[in-house]
Amino acid sequence: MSPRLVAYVGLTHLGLVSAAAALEKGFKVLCLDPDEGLVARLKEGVYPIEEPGFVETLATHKERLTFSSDLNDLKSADLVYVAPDIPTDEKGASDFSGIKFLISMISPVLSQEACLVVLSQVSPGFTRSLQKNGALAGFSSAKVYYQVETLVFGIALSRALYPERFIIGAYNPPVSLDATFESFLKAFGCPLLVMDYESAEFCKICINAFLAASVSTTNMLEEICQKIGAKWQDIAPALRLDKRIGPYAYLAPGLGLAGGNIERDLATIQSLSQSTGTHGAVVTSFIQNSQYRKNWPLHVFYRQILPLFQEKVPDLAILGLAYKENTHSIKNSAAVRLISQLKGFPMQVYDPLVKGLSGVTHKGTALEAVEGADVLFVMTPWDAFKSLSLQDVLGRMNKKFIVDPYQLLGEERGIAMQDDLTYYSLC
Amino acid sequence: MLTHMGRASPGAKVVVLGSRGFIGRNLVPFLQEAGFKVDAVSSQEIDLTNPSSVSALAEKFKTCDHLIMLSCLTPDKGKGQDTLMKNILMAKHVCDALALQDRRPHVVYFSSDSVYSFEESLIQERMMPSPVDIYGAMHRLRELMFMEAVPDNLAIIRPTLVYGPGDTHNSYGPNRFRREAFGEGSVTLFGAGEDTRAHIFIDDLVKLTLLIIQNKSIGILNGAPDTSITYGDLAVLVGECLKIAPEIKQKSRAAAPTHRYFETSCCYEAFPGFTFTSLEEGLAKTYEKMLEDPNA
Repeated sequence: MSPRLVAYVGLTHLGLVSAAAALEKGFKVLCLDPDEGLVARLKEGVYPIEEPGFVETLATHKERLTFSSDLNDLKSADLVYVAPDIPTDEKGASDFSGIKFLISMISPVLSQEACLVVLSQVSPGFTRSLQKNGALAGFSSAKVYYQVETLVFGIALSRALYPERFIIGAYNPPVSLDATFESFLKAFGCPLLVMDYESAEFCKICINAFLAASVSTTNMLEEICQKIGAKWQDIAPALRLDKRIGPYAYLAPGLGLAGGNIERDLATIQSLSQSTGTHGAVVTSFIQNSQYRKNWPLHVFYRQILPLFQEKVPDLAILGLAYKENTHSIKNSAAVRLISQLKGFPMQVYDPLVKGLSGVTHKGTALEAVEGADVLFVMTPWDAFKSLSLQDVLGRMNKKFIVDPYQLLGEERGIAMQDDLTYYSLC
Repeated sequence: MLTHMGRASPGAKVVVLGSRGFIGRNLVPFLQEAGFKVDAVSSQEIDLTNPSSVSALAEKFKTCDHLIMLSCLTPDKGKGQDTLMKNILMAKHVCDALALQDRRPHVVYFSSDSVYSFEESLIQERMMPSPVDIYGAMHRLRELMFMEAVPDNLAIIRPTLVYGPGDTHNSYGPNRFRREAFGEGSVTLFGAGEDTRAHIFIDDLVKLTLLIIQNKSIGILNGAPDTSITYGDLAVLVGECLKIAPEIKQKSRAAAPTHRYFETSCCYEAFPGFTFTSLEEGLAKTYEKMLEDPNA
């Protein structure tokens, strides 16, 4: 039995992308948020997120899409996803008061036949606690589910449309899923794994722990490669052919963890390992390695470049501010961290999406940003930077020092390095 | 790991305890040139191991804006428990004198990188100290004593091995290698000199101290550069600097080699634009000074 109306409450990146995927699969969708201003902007087509294909999907299926801030509109929904952002403090600890309040607001309105699905990133025990703390206001726990989201900024819509699997937490498995909910999930044509709330909630965290392990291990090994003269780019393909590691493993060296989601889950594991007496130092190491790795451009600057500027303060240019390509998010961004570390140095910056960062001079294009610069940092692997002509870049620079961790401008593109260029990259 | 609490007042008064040691002798004139009014106190003026030092210090602290605590009996003066107890007593008397003040000064305590263990080779300020010998434990305990005495107004510097002209210590490193190379024409290493260490040039350490005073910084800073070198390579470098090729001798070592590197982003973030003197440059400057002043 297919749902007549699927609702998304909390019009965040996660909520909006998930709604777009449901639209694309042919469902009628209600997008609801208590923020009337946000809803008004969405109705006008002003979207707070950037994802390839997102705007086009909403435009194509606009006749099946409704935006609202009226909770009563939820009465006719068979399936209600709750997807607000969960704020974190500086240590990555989550604050669940907002989502609890939101659920307590909507649960009295829902039809008793509807299903309520928590989609936000929550800690183990959260979903079961909803009944205990009264947030469900009489709504049946058996109709409440938790669904693991694996949003990846920049490819979020693609992943929402073609998920690897659905991981569902239920109140009392193996009791079969609600028929309407199951019908909706099956429309995506992927394996369906049903488990209890706690397992599903922790499963999400386990996924991110493994990703963090790959990122940290890759970055640590790549650094050793640099120091002993080995070539990580030759090693990584061999690792990908190992079935225990795999072709999609995170083997590209980078500047540590960013974006906030993996860091949040690592903080949760730290908390759980402490409270349960589990040896969790490995997770602490992931976090510390990430913080250390973000300083790679700073160390190159101070160790290799700045000592060569005895007569003047170098002018800096930074290309890329977002924590990764195809997003406007700067949470834990290596570029933003670098900017704060280099405060006091004259700096021009450019990012295709991130504007308005204080303390720096934003330029309208990448080439404008590098005009007159002595040192260029290429901090986000935007496709637009890969297509820059190295000759154009160098022609605008004064001194020619390029710190390009992802080799966007490097020899990998077949560009010959020049004698007057000093170039630094990760392997 | 450092937080700046504001700019120091022009002509502010700085009391330097331990002013006649290697660091003190370099630091005092540097602070004076920067415009600070320096009260340089040596052990000859006030014996910090004596309880009577409390009242003398308390008098000085009444008008003091910054206190730099360098006084310490270093391992070359003894590594045993007697030295430990004297060092703790010295810190206690300083803390007792601070406790008598209505307005406690900004304190800079000179600790040591010996508060860290060798389990991790890459040292960062955020790491929890884990001393493995009495000297390291002494510095950690003194850190805790000062943290209790001036919890909101304390900077701790943890210098690594310091070198430069005028160093009277003869510990294993650049100064001893230079003396050995000149005097004996040879340098003696433990094993093949595999251990790796960082060495901070005295000028860099006093500059960092000045910046901490000028910015009224609080927190923790490792006084260490971002490059390290094996003792074997250091011996060769010292020889190159002196333009002689000392014979490298080896003597047996008691323990497996240890390695120490420093992650210096805290320093760069605290003091943008500050750079460390390379070992090559620092050794060359030391040698130049030595030629200018044979007593150095």
